[in-house]
Amino acid sequence: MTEAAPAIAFDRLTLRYGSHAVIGNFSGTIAPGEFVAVLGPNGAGKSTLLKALLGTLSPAEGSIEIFGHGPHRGCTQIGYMPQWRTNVAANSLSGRAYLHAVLDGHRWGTPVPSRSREETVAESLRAVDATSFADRSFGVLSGGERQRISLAQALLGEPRILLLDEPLLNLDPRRQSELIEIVHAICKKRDVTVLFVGHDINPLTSVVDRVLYVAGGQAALGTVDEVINTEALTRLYQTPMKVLRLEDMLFILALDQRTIEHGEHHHRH
Amino acid sequence: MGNIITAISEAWSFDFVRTALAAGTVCALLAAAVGYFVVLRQMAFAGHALGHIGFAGACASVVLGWGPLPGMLALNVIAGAGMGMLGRRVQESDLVIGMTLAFALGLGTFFLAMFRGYAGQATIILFGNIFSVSETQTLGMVVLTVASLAGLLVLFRPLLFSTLEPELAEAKGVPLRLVATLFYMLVAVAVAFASQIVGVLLVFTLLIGPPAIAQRFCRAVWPGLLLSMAIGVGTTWIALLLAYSTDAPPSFWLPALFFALYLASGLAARLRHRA
Repeated sequence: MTEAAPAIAFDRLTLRYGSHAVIGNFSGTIAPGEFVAVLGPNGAGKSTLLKALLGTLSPAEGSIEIFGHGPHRGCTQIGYMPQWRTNVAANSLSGRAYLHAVLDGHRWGTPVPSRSREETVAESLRAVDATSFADRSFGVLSGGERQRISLAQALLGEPRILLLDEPLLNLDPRRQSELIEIVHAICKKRDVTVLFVGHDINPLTSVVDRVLYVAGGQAALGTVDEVINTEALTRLYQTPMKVLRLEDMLFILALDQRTIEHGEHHHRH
Repeated sequence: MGNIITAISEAWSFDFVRTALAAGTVCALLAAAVGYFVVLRQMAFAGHALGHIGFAGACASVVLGWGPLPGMLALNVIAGAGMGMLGRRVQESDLVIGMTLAFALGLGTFFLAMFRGYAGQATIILFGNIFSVSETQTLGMVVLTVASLAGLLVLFRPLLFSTLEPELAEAKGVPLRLVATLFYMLVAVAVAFASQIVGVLLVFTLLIGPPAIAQRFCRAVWPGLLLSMAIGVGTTWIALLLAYSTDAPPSFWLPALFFALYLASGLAARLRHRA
């Protein structure tokens, strides 16, 4: 899977956030069209990793390559869906207006309405099946509808890589699987690489190709079975961990703290 | 109906009324345009604070014999630039803004206390007196308003983007701090001008009133912005004519009209939502 030219290549990457190392000496590659779940406990460095890919945080050591080039701000190959925000929700603009604002917001000057802009925005909205509520005020949309608008925003400019930061936060299980299905369809139909940040592997098990697990200042990349097992996670966390399988669900337990690390139990920021 | 037309044509025949209308128009245009983004950014309190910081500048300026506007403009723009450069943590902190605001008001009182004769000026700075604005001042305001609106057009896209999605805008290469700093300076100019009509205490009404009403009806940016400006200018004209033909000052009529419009628009929006 990874022998062709990779979409993303990590080479002995070390990332620091302040003085504290969140990822140490990590190497690996992610292929075009791969669906990768980025998992790990709160504060482990999942968002930091996304920042490094977006070019807003420089690696302390090692390097990242995105289609053969270093990460840089304004990279058109990357679509980014930031974490849930309340300030967009509080205003009365529509999803369509929001997409227009994002479309060429990085250029100075005034937006000039045009047919091609309208078409680009409409196309993105269609891709996530959001046309029916795109003209309603953001404030009255449900959580699932807002996340779809936010995903449509990430698709503007037809990026080759999608970075989705906790898109399942604040969604009920049904909306979660709806969103996952939309992302999965886009990933496979358009051969787009997806890095999907989450807390829990279970809603994603059936769609992911591999998992990038960040914990204990390290990262591990591999299939669900390779990464989420008692031995591998104990090595990663550097503390006794236990993975339990119930039906087709996985539960990760931190043995010395006697807590469920992941499962049907969601952390809030 | 005939009475209204007579009253308007009588008012129009006075120079000071025409000057006040011209000054009111440019102030309202700028306040409503800048205010649209202030409301989107949810930084109404910061805008309010700039008015109060301007009070200190205005008082110092009066004491020096320059009239309130130059000192107010200067201090506002400096304070605005400072707020922009200090970043979002300060801009969103009610405590930092509140403490600074109170200090500035106190400082203004200190300047006025040094010169007893100017005590009457305090009322004008606090509550405005549009009918006393001179033609030269109005001309200066027109020039600065045109420049500020041009600046707003240049900032438009990155300002809107960084208001709605700061992290994303940063990743796309928008210089967040620069955009915020330039925008706060525009807010500072708008606030200084608005206080010429309604005074520093009521700057809020011109800055927040029109966009708050407009955003109840508009889901897209351009319509919202233009409606906000139309509401700002229209209401200002009506308030000035009402002030001319009654004993109540514009500083009563403007907030009263905006308040009534705000309530009515809320009601209208609710009825439409139910239908």
